[in-house]
Amino acid sequence: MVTTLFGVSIIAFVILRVIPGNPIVMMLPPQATQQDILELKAQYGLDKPILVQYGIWLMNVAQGDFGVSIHMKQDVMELIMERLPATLELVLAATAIALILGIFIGTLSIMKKGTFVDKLGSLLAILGLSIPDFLWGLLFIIFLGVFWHVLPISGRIASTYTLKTITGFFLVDSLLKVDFKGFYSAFLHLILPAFSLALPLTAIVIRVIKSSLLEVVKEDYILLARVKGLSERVVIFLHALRNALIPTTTIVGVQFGFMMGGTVLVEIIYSWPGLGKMAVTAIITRDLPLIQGVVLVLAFIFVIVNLIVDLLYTFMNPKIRYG
Amino acid sequence: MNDPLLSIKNLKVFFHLDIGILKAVNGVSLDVQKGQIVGLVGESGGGKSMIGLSILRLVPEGGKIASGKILFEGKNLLNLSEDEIRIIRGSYISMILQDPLTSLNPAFRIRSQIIDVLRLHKGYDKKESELIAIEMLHNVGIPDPEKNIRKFPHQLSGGMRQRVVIVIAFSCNPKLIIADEPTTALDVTIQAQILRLLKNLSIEYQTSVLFITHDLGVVANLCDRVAVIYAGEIVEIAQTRELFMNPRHPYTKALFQSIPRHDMKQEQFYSIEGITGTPIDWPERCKFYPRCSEKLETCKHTNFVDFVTYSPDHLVRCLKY
Amino acid sequence: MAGRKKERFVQIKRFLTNGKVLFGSIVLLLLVFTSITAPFIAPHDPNEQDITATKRPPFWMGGGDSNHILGTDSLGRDVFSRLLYGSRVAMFVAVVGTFFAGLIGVPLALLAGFYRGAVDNLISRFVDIWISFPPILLSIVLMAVLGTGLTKVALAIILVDWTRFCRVIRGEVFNITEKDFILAAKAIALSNLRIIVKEVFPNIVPLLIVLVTLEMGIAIIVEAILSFVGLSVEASIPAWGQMIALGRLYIHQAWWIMVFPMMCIIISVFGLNLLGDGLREVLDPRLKVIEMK
Repeated sequence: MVTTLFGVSIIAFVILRVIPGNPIVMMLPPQATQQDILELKAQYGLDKPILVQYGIWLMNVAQGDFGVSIHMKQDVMELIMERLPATLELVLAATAIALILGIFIGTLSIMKKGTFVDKLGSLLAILGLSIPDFLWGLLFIIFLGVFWHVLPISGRIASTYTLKTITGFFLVDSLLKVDFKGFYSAFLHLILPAFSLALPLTAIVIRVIKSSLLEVVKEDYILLARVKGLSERVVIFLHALRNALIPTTTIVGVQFGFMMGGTVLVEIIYSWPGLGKMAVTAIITRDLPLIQGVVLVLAFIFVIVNLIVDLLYTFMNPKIRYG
Repeated sequence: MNDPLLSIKNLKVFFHLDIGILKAVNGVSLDVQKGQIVGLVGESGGGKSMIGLSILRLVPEGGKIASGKILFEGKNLLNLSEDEIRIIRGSYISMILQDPLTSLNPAFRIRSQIIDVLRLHKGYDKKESELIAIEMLHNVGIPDPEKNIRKFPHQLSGGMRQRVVIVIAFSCNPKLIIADEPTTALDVTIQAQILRLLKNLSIEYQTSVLFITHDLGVVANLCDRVAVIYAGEIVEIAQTRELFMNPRHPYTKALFQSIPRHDMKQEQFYSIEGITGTPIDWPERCKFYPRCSEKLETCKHTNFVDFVTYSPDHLVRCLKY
Repeated sequence: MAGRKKERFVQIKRFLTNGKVLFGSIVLLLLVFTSITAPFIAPHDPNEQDITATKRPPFWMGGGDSNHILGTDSLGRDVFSRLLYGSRVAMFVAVVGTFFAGLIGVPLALLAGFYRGAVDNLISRFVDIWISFPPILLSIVLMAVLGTGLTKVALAIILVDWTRFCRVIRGEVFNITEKDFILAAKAIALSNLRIIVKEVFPNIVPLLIVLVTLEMGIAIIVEAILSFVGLSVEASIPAWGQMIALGRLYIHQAWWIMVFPMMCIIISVFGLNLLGDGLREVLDPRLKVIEMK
């Protein structure tokens, strides 16, 4: 786990310094002299050799100091913490939607094998995989935002609101403040972006559930469950699903980690003030400290999620849990 | 004679594959009387398991019960609705599967896997069911049932697991139990115990048993009657003693010959020539013909071989008689 | 042997009657066709601007004309022609990106799965670290490093997605090398290289084919993503993703500028995925589900 983090930070560090385009030059007016450039460079410590720069950065990070954003002139950690909850809320909502929809459709599909429901489920699965999140986003915006004004398509909450945030999660904060109107607005704003992210994942969940269930259903204990006279519904939803969920949660967990780093386009399209949007701007403006900070935080989250997934797996599999 | 408890009449189970029709069960007729233990012996892939599954209408995907009747207490099981057959499953007719490790759900404790049948068919509540379950576990010889009932299947030994499966099968006092190779996956030492247990329980509960196996030796002590099956057809059926003393069908004879005895020398080991093969698109003559060591010229050309009564209650399907 | 011939025949029959394979193949052929013949069948030069005819709607709507059957964009360029030319970018990116990603990923997977042990550890670790880098950000960063341009886009795709080839194929190689015939080959002391090439590789080909179709769809999508961020092909080359990004600005007045390239992408990727799915069914019904990573 630690090596992964190191690896990622090193890759980021090196690549960024290889990038053509100098953040310093971008910051200064065109008339800036060589002297000005050198001074600014020194101020940001960019004049030292790479290894030293990395060493310094590492030491600072160990103390929780991620540096200051060159472009936005704010503390990197602050910036990240401002945006992180927005992205987290989005990804959590998307994952929840994907799990519920996917498990339901996938299981139903297996139960009514070969019928209309099954074919519909398969179609949805392939569609979900073929249409990436941002295209879903654009489709939603066109049909539900532009052609028919059904749902909001911009921002996290109606601009008339100023939500005093505690956790940064609008849904949670509005409930804590018993602000139902605020909750409703935040909820509406969350729907389209969350669904855009959720649908490709739903397709994956449907696939995994179907394939796991197909495997599980061949097992003897499913035959025994039927022999006992249990209804098909009980056999599938209780006995089969319980076992099929194990590989499913593993995969969904991993996808969650990936999604955290992949919200960029959806955030841009919906003007969602999250990490992804900020990261892209940072890359374009060559804002090195910010990019490094974001990359490291995302990689960290990814690693943590993987750990949680491993723990979940152990927890869910009685053979491992009870030895 | 009373009406048989179970009467299978001319059962045919086919699988329609890409490469042809697999006739897994090709016209099998078999009766089981109340309280009787009937053995069904044959090689792996001979169609025996399919017969057991057909009784409960649990033929796997791709297979179809093409024709025939299965009469249980006079009613044709094949005509029942899905709801009606589900009432029969687990309560009137039950089944024991081969591998106790895979027949129990690894994700659930033993307790829930025993009481779900009790609650479903007998309507007991959780507490009552658990008490009944514990007592039954005790009866089959599982030590410390209160503790063990909370365990997961993988925490028990193979023999104990099979006893649990037996408990599940007997829990609702069924009239018929289909035992599909219940001892094949067990240690030899445990096998004898389980067989004895099965026999005792069937006598105690007055339960008929259809005992499916490939092992003739197992059948000797346990069964009242034995039917021998080859390539989806019954080739010989008689009372156990009669069959063992007087096997008539060439396949049956070959089976007996291939049982190694402790006093045999290496050279005396006998195995039947050829392999069973899968009966896909086979001609309708005697299926054992290619491997038969006693074949006659007429065997090649006769299309349908019917049963011949060799002696009272001893039927053979062979042109030699 | 009659049995063998019958098997082959059954295989081919399955291949031709599988609806998914048919549909997907048609889509693929269509893509190939348009990418090759675009310069000949496109009614207009894709870059030809006409300030007098900007944002014309498709011909079936009021204000449209048959000269521009799918309308024009904000600079008066013919949408239909741009779509046709866009298929060239899509195919280029899909074919080149997939091919080289596979070229990197598959040999590594073969090595890791065959030699296992330290070799596998090293390669797997490397892949894990590479994957930890959020792929979208990675591709964006790469484009920032490499600069924009068609070949650079393909390069970015290769660098980001070779890991998918590696992971999936490695899993399959593991499966195969546990089988006995590999042990048998080793027992008669065939050189390792020969074993890999002659015994292992042919067995991963079915999975590889399916993976390729999947990957091609992904490549097309990645190009679209990069276009969105403004880091894709040069402005003078029409690409679907680029058309979407530009068209987004006029979503209210001229939705067709964005919608048609969207449809192209969706149909292409859908067709490719369907093809992959169908191939998987036909080639080996026992194949496990390919996990989307």
